[in-house]
Amino acid sequence: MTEPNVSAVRALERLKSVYLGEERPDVSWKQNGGVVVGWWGEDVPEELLVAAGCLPVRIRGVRDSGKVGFPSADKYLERGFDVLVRARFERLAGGEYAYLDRIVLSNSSDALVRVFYYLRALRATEPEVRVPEPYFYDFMHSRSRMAALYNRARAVELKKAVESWTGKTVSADDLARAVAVCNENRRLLAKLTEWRTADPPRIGGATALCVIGAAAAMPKEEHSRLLRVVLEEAPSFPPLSGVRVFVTGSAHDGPDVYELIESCGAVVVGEDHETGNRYFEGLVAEDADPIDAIVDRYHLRSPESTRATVSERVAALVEQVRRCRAQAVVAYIHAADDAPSWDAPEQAKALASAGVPMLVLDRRPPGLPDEDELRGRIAEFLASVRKRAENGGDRR
Amino acid sequence: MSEAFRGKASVKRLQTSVRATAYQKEWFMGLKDRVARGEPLAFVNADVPQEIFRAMDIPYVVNQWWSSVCAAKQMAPYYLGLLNERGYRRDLCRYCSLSLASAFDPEPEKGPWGGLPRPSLAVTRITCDSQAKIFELWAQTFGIPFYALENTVPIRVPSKWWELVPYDWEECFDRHRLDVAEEDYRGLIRFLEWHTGRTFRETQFRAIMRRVNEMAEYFRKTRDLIAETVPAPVAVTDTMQTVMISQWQRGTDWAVETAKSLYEEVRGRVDRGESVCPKEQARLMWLGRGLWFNLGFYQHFEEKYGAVFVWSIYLAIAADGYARYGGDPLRALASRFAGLEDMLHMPPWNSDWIVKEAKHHRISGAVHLISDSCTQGAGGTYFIRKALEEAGVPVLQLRADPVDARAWDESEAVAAMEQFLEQRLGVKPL
Repeated sequence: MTEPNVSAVRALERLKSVYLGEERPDVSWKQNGGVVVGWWGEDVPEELLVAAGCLPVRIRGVRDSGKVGFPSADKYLERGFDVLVRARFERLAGGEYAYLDRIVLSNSSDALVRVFYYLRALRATEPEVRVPEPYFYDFMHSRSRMAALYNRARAVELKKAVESWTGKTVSADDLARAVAVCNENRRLLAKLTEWRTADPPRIGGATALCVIGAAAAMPKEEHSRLLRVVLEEAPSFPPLSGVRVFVTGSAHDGPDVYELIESCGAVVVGEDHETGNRYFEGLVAEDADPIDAIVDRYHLRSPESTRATVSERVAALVEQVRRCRAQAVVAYIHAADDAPSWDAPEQAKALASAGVPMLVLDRRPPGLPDEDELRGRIAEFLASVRKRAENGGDRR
Repeated sequence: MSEAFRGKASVKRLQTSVRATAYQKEWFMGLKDRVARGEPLAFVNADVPQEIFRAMDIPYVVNQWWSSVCAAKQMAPYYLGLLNERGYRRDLCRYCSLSLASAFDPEPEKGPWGGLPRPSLAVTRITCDSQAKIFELWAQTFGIPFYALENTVPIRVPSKWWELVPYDWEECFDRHRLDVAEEDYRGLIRFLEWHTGRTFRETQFRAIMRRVNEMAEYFRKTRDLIAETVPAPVAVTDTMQTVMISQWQRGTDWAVETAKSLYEEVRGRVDRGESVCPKEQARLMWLGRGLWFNLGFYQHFEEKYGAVFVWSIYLAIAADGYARYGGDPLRALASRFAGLEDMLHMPPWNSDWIVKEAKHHRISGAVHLISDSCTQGAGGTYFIRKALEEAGVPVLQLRADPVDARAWDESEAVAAMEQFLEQRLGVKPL
């Protein structure tokens, strides 16, 4: 086994630095006269923004230790908004995203619909708060033709809106190029997953989360360039050992939870939330009308908890766990994130039938204020999984 | 059953309320008979266009109505306990899942009025993240089909929507939203035809739409009468249940007659100079959902302070949000449901309207019930408070669930109310 090339290590460090916000390509882009558009909601098609020459960046939450809380978000949001939404709203209401030219939100959750109204109301009643002008992308999730056509019409409207923000007409060629750039990035991220799910894995979950997250925080071409460097050296990365864990439940804006799980003797080999594998799942067809193809890709991905029935989520989870050859599942659910809490009991039953145990960590507060206690619960769970595997109970 | 707080029923002042409450039991027993004879039963969410079911003569029960009945009958702690035993956490949505919880009762016949009969199909609208999940679980529990209507988001914010919606509804809502809702409704009708064998009768539908407008007109007159009469002739406890029972019977002659009777009874009290508190000291708004397990709560403050809750969303939205005139009736129906979520829960739609209503009713203070387990039911609370307080109306925010008595602290709520009345509104006990 050889040590990974220095350039691969540096590429990973750079991607992590972008993910953690230590390096800010968005600020550089803006300083160089570019248009930066924030997006919040997994239905927002980055391709349309890239085609118009914008830098799309996902809205990210503040990292909170659980001690400071979210004072700005607490002022405007009811307690029924989950931790991740509060963390992101905190940065918006705190003025950290005032530099954005626009923010596009979609109805990928009920909370996000409300965030759109609240941001609009804030701009109208408290302009001193300096939130960017919101645009709502009304996207349906039922797998019906009615929804598909509705979404196409909304995508055309979004394209026109983006053209008005940039003063640039987006041609079919612009769209085709943007689709190709985004698809290439997705293909590379899918290759990263192959190393993550290899036996033994060569890429850990916390690292993968950073790499995936960085793709939504920097120009796609640069992310793909760095990723290629990483992938070239991936075969020489040291093999990782530990219980193969799949993470479901809420999305994550930081690697802390994954790091905690992996520090207990596990490797997170996959997840189904919006800031992990789901971000790059599925390609946009390059041989069809670009708007049609873009809408199809976002419409027909695996279901996210907020917009799916329990049975859809159960079926998707069981299949993804099987593909990743995960030995166990951790459902990490932020406080007030109701959708995955509704999924969890039936998911646990279905996984148990498949011989995969699930640990449900529900009502999780911001940060990891109870880290030691949580570590103990996860370690105990992983020990039981290992024991079960030793006794031949692992039916992967 | 756990040791939960047991709420008090309100004392009814109006014969219309007494009759409406009696009727809902009579209607429910009749519905059970129909289902027992083999007729279909639809279980639907509150924001589903029930007019369609009525036009097809499909008996239906509304999710939130059954929740409020279970809560009023003090069954919520027991039912919600059954849900929790199945692994659903205690602070998950309760208003919309109480009916699901009641379906887990091994002895359903011990439920209110002998329990809910087995439904044949379920229909909801995807207005929040949990709706499709709750209804699918419901449908799976009974092995029945379910249909989920789409929800869309308005881009335009019309000024003074309450003046536009009765006649200019086509201009008030984004056309593409009405187009897709109409198509969705056609899909729902097809679904119902297929699963029940019943026929949608256009003549019946048009008559239903006309009756809903008639009912809304009586509610508007009642609302205006209460708003403009000091001291108040009636309180929210006199109107909330009557309005909602009528609302669930929307489109029937009974509902029109009840709305008319409510108006006439209130008119009679005004003409005779009868009031809730002759020494009325404060006129209050109750924002948010009703405290269904404890309707007697409101009347304590009438007796002690002469503080009368004169306004609730129930009568007010029935007065301003439902009437639709002109145009194609199915599209008019789509426009009725295209706006309700925004009117009730989204700023500035709700905040502008609530301020208008506060001024109209000469409100002294507003009490806002906020349910932490439901984002949908408490939309824009910051903006509502800000708008009201800028209009000179102090606001008290109370945190509680409208159906779950387990977390209700009566003494704490009463203390908060009394402090609000005395310190913010300057009201002294009578």
